[in-house]
Amino acid sequence: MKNDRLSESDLELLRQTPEDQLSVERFRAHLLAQGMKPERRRVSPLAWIAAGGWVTAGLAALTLMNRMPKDVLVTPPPAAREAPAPAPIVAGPEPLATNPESSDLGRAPVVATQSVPPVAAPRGPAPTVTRVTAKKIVAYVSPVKPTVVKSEPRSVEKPIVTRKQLESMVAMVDRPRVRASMMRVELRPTNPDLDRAASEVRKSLTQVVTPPKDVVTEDTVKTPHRAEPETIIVLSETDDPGMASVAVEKEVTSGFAVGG
Amino acid sequence: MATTTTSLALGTPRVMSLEMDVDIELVAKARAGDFDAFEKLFERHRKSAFRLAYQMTNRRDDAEDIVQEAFVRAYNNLDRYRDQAKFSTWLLRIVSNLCTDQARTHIRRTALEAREAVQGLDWMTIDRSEDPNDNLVQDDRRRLLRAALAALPAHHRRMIILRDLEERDYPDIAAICGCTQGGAKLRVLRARRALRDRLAPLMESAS
Repeated sequence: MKNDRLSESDLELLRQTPEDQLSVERFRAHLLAQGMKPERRRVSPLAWIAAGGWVTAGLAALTLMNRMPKDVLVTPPPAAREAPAPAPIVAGPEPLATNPESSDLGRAPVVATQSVPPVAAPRGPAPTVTRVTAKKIVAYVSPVKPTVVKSEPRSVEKPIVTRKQLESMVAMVDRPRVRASMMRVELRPTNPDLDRAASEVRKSLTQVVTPPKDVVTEDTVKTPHRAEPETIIVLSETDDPGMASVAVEKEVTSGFAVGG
Repeated sequence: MATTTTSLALGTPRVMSLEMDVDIELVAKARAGDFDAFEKLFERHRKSAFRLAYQMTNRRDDAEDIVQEAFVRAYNNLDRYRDQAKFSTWLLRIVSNLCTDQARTHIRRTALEAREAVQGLDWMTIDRSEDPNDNLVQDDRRRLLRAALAALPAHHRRMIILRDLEERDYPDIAAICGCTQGGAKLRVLRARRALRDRLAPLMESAS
């Protein structure tokens, strides 16, 4: 291939260039003229804005997480964990959310009926009530945060769960052990003025829902998970004329769900 | 006042590696906000940047403006510089792009201006020979060479400058021009041929 490269002498002539007048001072002045300061770089305002956005989003998420209802994770006893064999669904009571007596329940996001449909018992004589697992009951009456009346802590006008509802829920549990656990509703009045009312409720609950004799004692049942201690459920006697009208605010432990 | 600048960007691989390490260290300091380190980078590379800019533009003031702008851009984009490449290569690429932009901007510049620039070089360069006749011959030849180089398209001129005048290796040229090494070799061959074709009639008419 023909070499078209210039001779070295020609290249040497071409390499001659005038001396540049550049200097660091001139370059610095050029930077200043362009509005830039030759100094340590600072974090740009955009970066600050982005960082602030992230921090705000994080705080918002944190606040939201604190306000979100915390699922009461219930680990049913080993026997309850066994999946029942498919069986025809027995007509049972309506979910509480649709129960006309529990109109207030509609406010609470206890829409777990979608995930846990009622199923019938696997074998044996067909029971008269729908058999449900303890987990489902928890889903129905889980003391979720939206039911907490924090803004009106002493309000008793809007009962959340009536005694009848509680009884019906307990009755849906076919396992005496779980049922007994559910009945161990520990009443701890937060207001000294309500001590009397609380004792009445405790007494009435004991009368109404006395666990069967074959139920294990409270101490033998382990608590898989405890609900939020600040969870407040308002119980109100609205439909049982035999009981004194009581409205109490109580802290409800996870025993309300399952286990005490 | 004028001097000749014939220093080349050449060196043994060990020296080049050392130089590259120094550049990387200076860049790291400059990234951390040490402007003194960037001033050192400016001092180390401004001459090579100016040579390229001057050969491309044929005007000293334009070349100086381009070099300054190139360093400003480098300063503003230090975070985007990757240490895998040489800083000089990265900088020369900025210079080359600025030269291309400048050529596009001043595409309507008359040939008279270019000729004036070439003639301006004559009195800015230093004659080496003691013999006035030799100086005259050299001046004529240099003028012809520069005119032929200036008449080349920018992409050809850039190849001649990078390969034959600056004697950069092909990986560097490829990095500066944004092409492969094979492509760089091919471009250099074409540029040399174009320069030869431009220069031949000029030499004949001069003789």
